[in-house]
Amino acid sequence: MTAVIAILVDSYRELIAKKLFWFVLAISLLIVVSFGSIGFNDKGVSVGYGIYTIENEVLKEGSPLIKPFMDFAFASVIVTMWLAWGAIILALISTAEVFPNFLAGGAIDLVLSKPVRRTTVFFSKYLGSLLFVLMQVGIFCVGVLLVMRWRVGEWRWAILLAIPVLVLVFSYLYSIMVLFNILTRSTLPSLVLTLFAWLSLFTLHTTDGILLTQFRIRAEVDRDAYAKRIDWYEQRIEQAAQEGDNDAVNRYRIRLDSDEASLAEAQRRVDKWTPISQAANLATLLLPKTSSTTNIVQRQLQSSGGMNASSLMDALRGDKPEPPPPAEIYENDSKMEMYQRRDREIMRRAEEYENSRPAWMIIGTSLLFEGAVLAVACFIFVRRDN
Amino acid sequence: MNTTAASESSKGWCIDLHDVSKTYRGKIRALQGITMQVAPGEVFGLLGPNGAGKSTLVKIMMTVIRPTKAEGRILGQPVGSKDALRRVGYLPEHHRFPSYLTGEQALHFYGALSGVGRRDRKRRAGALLERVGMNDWRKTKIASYSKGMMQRVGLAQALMNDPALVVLDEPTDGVDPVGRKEIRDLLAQLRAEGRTVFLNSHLLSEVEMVCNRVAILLQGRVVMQGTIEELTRDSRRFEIEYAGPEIDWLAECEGAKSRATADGARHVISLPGKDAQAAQPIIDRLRANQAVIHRCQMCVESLEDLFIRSVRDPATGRSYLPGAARNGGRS
Ligand SMILES: Nc1ncnc2c1ncn2[C@@H]1O[C@H](COP(=O)(O)OP(=O)(O)O)[C@@H](O)[C@H]1O
Ligand SMILES: [Mg+2]
Repeated sequence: MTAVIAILVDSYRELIAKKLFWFVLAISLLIVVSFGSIGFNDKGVSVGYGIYTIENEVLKEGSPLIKPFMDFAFASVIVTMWLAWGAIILALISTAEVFPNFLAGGAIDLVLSKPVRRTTVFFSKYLGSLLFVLMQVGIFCVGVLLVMRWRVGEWRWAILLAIPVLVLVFSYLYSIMVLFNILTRSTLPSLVLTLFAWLSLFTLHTTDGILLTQFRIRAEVDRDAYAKRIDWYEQRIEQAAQEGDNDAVNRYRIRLDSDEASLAEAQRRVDKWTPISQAANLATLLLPKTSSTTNIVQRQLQSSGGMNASSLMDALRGDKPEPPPPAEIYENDSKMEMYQRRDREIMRRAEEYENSRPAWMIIGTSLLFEGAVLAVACFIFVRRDN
Repeated sequence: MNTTAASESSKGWCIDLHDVSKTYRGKIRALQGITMQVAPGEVFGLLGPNGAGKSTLVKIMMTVIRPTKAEGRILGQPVGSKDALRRVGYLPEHHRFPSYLTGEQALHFYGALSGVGRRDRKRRAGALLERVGMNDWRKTKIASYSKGMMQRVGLAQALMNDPALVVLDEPTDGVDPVGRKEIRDLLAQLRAEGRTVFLNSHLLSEVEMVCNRVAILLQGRVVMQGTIEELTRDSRRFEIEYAGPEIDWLAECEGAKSRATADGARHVISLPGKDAQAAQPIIDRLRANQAVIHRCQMCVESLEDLFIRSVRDPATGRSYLPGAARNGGRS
């Protein structure tokens, strides 16, 4: 235990001795200060601590939308853009040389000669590097928590969830870097390879997402929409036939026929894309899921009294949150309205799908991957012999 | 050798190695069956040219690398076990401390890795930095230390766990002459404190000054081992240097040899053994022949002479090339 603590303390000293650490902290504080500058008065949103006011009908002092708006600004803008990308890249750069320096000739010999097991040394050093993100995100989130208390008037404890979540996301990537560190024993190649691996993961998950939403879900939405319309036309035809309105019967029948062809076509697309999407999903199943893990923060904020992004956007635009009733659309056969409805439905189902995957599964499968990578790295470290 | 016999014979030795071999990747046979004993409380010097395998042997003892084959014990524990290391202090060659630490923090860090509790670390770090003359630099980052200062802090580090055995790999490397003297004094103090010191060095005069016993390593084999006295015993002789013609009755004196000095002006007679009595009749006869005696002296081979002699290939008369044996090396 003494040894583990010593290695952690040593890591802490190593990290704060880096200029980059203070640079990242400075950016974080700047962002917290900017975030805190967003206020609400009786005319709308004030920015720059009251210097300028953006007039808004809906979003102003006392509006119930303030909380979801600030949640959104934090979870969708700050977390995804700063913490999950900028801060993590800077953290990877800062920690890229930790293991190479530690393994360098003349440095590692003394450590290996101590009465501490090599696995203990390895994992302590690994955990030590996670301190970088823990400290950075910790300080940042406490800052945001205070801003929220001030601007929203509520302690949004769910914000603190970003701390473990971002440490997790970083740890997926850092484990990959440590493996490269141990294989190459150098800093820059490891960093480049890690960023490349991250990009590859991102591409894979994006492809998986596009296959799911733009092909599979889109086909399903089309199919369901045509099926509904066909139902509606059938009712109409029956009704018109009863009323003896042959014109109407014919008009509806033409539409019905065309819709039946479209339904068959949509069903073919569903049959084609479902297995492909499932295969892509399976392929990414055991890979670390950085974006989905980051998303957990947003999910948690939503489920603790927030609003999802699309409803917030609707509310802010002042749009009618309710789309026009289907009958109207079907009757007018307005393509415009139909596409809008379709895109909204795709987004809703994609969101529903994402939220249907439990957090423990996203984290669990990612950790499984991380564990395997670390096991390989640790094995090589323990076996090292010169 | 069966294990009971091995542990039986280990009793009493601080380091007791049998048949330690190491072949690096690429078939570099750095060690080829080392057998070596170090008694408790002595300062033991391991000598050898560059690449002889000294550091390799030390790294095996310190579990930094794995031996290809090894039997033996260190402080009663089998080689390779971490347990004994609690009571061993180690200064690796070319060691580098993390530059972001101060001297004091480095001592704390390595002390903690050795399992020393916080209070002991605090007490010892101060005392040891004082002892190696680095007290004024305790709060300074190691990044600004010179090589010699690093070496001093390294030595202090090796003593943080109050070790029974101190293993030093080239401790005077990069240290100025004054610092070297201080390190030698420190080694003497360590011996006086009852610690065993295992010293790797290629600086022979240094080793000669502090070591009780030495082993000479050459291409991964021990070529000589013993006290300096034992190793140089055969080279002991009595020398008489005189001005005058070469004498013709030397054959009457058993073992005596004569040679001219480099400038040819004088001659030197040398008699084997350390008995000055045997030289007296020769001196008498030289004096009777009006020879002028310039010097009468007991002579003994220095460690350097011994070393040079042992690293020379008897067949060719040339020194062995540095480095480990390749493809079997000398047989
Ligand atoms: N990691 C290594 N891989 C391969 N060969 C090595 C390694 N370390 C040392 N050697 C070789 O082993 C031999 C002994 O090296 P070393 O123990 O460092 O010698 P010394 O300390 O006596 O100068 C040398 O020939 C060296 O080149
Ligand atoms: Mg060496």
